[in-house]
Amino acid sequence: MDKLFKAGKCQDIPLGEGRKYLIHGEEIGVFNLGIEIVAISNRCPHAGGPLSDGIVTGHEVICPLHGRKVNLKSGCVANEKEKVKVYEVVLKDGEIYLKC
Amino acid sequence: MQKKSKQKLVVIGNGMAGIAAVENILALKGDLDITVFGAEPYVNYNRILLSDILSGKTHPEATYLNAREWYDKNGIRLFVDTKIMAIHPEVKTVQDDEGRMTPYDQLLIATGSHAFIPPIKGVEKRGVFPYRNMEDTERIIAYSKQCRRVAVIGGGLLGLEAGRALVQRGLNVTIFHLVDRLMELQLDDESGLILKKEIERLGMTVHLNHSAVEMIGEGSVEGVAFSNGKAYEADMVVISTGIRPNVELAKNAGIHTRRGIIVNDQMETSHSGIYAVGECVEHRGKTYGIVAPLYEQAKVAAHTILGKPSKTYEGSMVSATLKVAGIDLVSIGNYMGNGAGCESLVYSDRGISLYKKVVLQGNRVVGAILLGDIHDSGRFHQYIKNQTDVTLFRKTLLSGDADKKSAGPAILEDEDTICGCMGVNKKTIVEAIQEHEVTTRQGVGEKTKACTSCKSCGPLIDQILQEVLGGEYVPVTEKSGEFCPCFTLSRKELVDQIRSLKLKAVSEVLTRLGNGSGCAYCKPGLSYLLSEIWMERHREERNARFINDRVHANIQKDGTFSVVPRIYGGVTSPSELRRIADVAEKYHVPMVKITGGQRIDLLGVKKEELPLIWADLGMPSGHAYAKAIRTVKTCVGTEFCRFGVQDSTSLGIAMEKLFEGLYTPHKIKMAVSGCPRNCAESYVKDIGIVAIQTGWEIYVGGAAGMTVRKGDLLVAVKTDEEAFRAVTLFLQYYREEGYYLERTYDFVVRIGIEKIKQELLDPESARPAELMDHFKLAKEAVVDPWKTESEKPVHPYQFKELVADG
Repeated sequence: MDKLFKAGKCQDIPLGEGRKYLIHGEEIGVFNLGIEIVAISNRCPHAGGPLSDGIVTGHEVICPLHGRKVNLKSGCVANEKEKVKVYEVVLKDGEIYLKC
Repeated sequence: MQKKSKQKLVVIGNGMAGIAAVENILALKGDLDITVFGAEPYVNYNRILLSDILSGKTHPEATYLNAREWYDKNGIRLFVDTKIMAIHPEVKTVQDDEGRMTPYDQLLIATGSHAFIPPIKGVEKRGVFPYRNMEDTERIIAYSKQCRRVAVIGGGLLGLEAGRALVQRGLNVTIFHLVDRLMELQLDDESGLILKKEIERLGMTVHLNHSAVEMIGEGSVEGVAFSNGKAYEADMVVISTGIRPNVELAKNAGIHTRRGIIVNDQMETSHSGIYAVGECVEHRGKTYGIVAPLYEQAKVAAHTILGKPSKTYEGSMVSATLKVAGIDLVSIGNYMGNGAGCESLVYSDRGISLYKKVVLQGNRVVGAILLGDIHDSGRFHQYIKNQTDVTLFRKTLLSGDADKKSAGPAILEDEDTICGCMGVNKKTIVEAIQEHEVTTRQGVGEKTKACTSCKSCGPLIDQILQEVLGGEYVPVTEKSGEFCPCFTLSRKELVDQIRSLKLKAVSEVLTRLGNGSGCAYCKPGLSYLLSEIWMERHREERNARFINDRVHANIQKDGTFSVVPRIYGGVTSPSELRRIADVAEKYHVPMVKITGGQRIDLLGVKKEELPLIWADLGMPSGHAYAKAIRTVKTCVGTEFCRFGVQDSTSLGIAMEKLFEGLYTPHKIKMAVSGCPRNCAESYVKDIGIVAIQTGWEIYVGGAAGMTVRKGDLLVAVKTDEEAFRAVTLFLQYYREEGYYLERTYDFVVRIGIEKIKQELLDPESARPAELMDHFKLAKEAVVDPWKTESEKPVHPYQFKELVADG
């Protein structure tokens, strides 16, 4: 059964950037796209790069290690078979909750 | 109205050769009733650009040479997706796959060729593709989306192009070639060896002497087995092992064929009223698989069909250009030097992958191979075509300085083909320049399609522009225009707009002038551009910066960071070393390493600990993570060295303090050596200073990384003050004129050292005063990010790892 984890306030994540959260040893990258907050598994399937440190353009984040493009909505990774896990985000009173 | 019915011409084949013949007929004002049958479901497209479609660089529609409207406008009936099944010469009709009979008075066969598939067991498996036409290309693209490893069978021209395109799609590509050198039909042993190295540099694996015997896998291909007993895994296989002329149709009609359909010098087959052009023909025992000959054949065929048999086709000199981005390669004519009285002039430099070979027979050039530098290909083409006697300039034939003028485009005739890919002759280009007032290669390309494919004719087009325009012609470098595909503006227009609209932040520039979102290249690029234009008084947006510039440390493969404190000139002290050692122990730094730039690197630091480490170190940022002034490496100069002639250590330290904290288009490594023995390696730095008896020599644009280059001497000066001034001017000039991510070794080559000297050192030039002003303003705004952000980060959670509550 999925559980909701409280992950701080929206303003904890600067606009257009991502931040890494640790939830039970799991690394989750949470991104502030301005109009919404999205969350994915933080490790790039290519070589384990920390996606929360990547540059965000549109709905994609570019892995800082080797430039793989990861779609923040679908979890699809260009040129990789494996997807990254996408987490559901619930916003309540400016607080971020992650469903996992 | 004239009632006389027109002569009926039927063309079998809607490809480049058949349509080229039709275009020639129209140009000669031939009044024929033309019907074209094409087996493929497309209008006439440029087959040469298939590898660009495969790589994703272009899309199918962009390769269409003749749109539907062209056929309609010229009254040509076009049947696409319609295969001709039989020719009936006795009743002068052709029969298509719907059983329809179409009568002709004259028939042109231009059926092209098909991919040759060697007898390999299991080639029918899913995931095994030939590579020859649009449909193959589209199928390969669709299938490749689920693949990682692709085996390309065949290391010829097309196989290598396919391999490169698939690398660009992110696949792991291995090329398997039957014989012991790549492109054996165009290259000799030495150039084959260099090409192999270059292909490997582009990320492909090459296996020579591999003859495929079986495609392994159940249903879908999973690997390939070879006759030497080896087998390799692959989830897709592309076969490119040559072509065979399509002769069946002609052969079944009783037309004489051998390897191809046999034609005479008028392009007539053995049957009167039936002609053939393109890859399906055999002329004087030769078949051709490249584009230039078919344009020549098409021209002759058009004359013959219209009853003007004045022109004859006497065979083509074969010239092949490898269309692989990153490798320049042309092979022309008798490249092997086989034949009586042939001599080869060869220049080979494996180190920089340069190979030039010219084959002479008597005093005439008969063949050439150019690899790594193809600027001379036009010149050699002309020597061969005009049978120029090269005795007088044989000494400089390979270097090509003395005779360049004598062989300029003026000796080309109007009819001569300039762009082999698109079949554009000199006359067409000259007319485009005169009538449309174009002044650039790109302009010529837009009007004539010349130089829009492999681009090897570019230098020749520049010469024609020069010849037609005279003094009005200004050469434009290829890269100069664009900034990033996210913008329609050129770099210069972008800078002008940013200034006039006073845009201070990346997001403003992207929304006002670009596509809104930007990309991973232009966001950091714009960040730099704005900081440079507004001299560090821009509005910083950290989301546009690469992670290194957000946290002022260099990201490592495991997501940790490295910390390099600034140690001016590489000169440290016991107390500083002790502090570094204490910090390394306190934070359990996994590795402490001396860098190539004489600094100390603390590797494996967690992001959260960066501000703490900076505070404990109490040393300025070494900027090892940034596009900025990195290090000034020094030797001990006159201080201790018995050979030193100047105090290189003091000058290096002073320079590092002066330039510290300034950002640049790409990183800047500097060095100061106390004598020409050059222990600080100044010749191979972005800016290198070498002491001589009378003062200092200043070198710029050196490199010793992926590229190795000795810097160009900017100036020799007498005093330290003059050295500071010269270096400051160069640095600021690079900051203003360099493209983002352009290292000085590219920058200096692009601008030219003579131009740089003129701008910076000419007493008449106004630039130095302006550069000095800008430098001072930028320098005033410099802050040490380690100091400011260990106390007050840009964002409170800049360095924090966040933990969620359950």
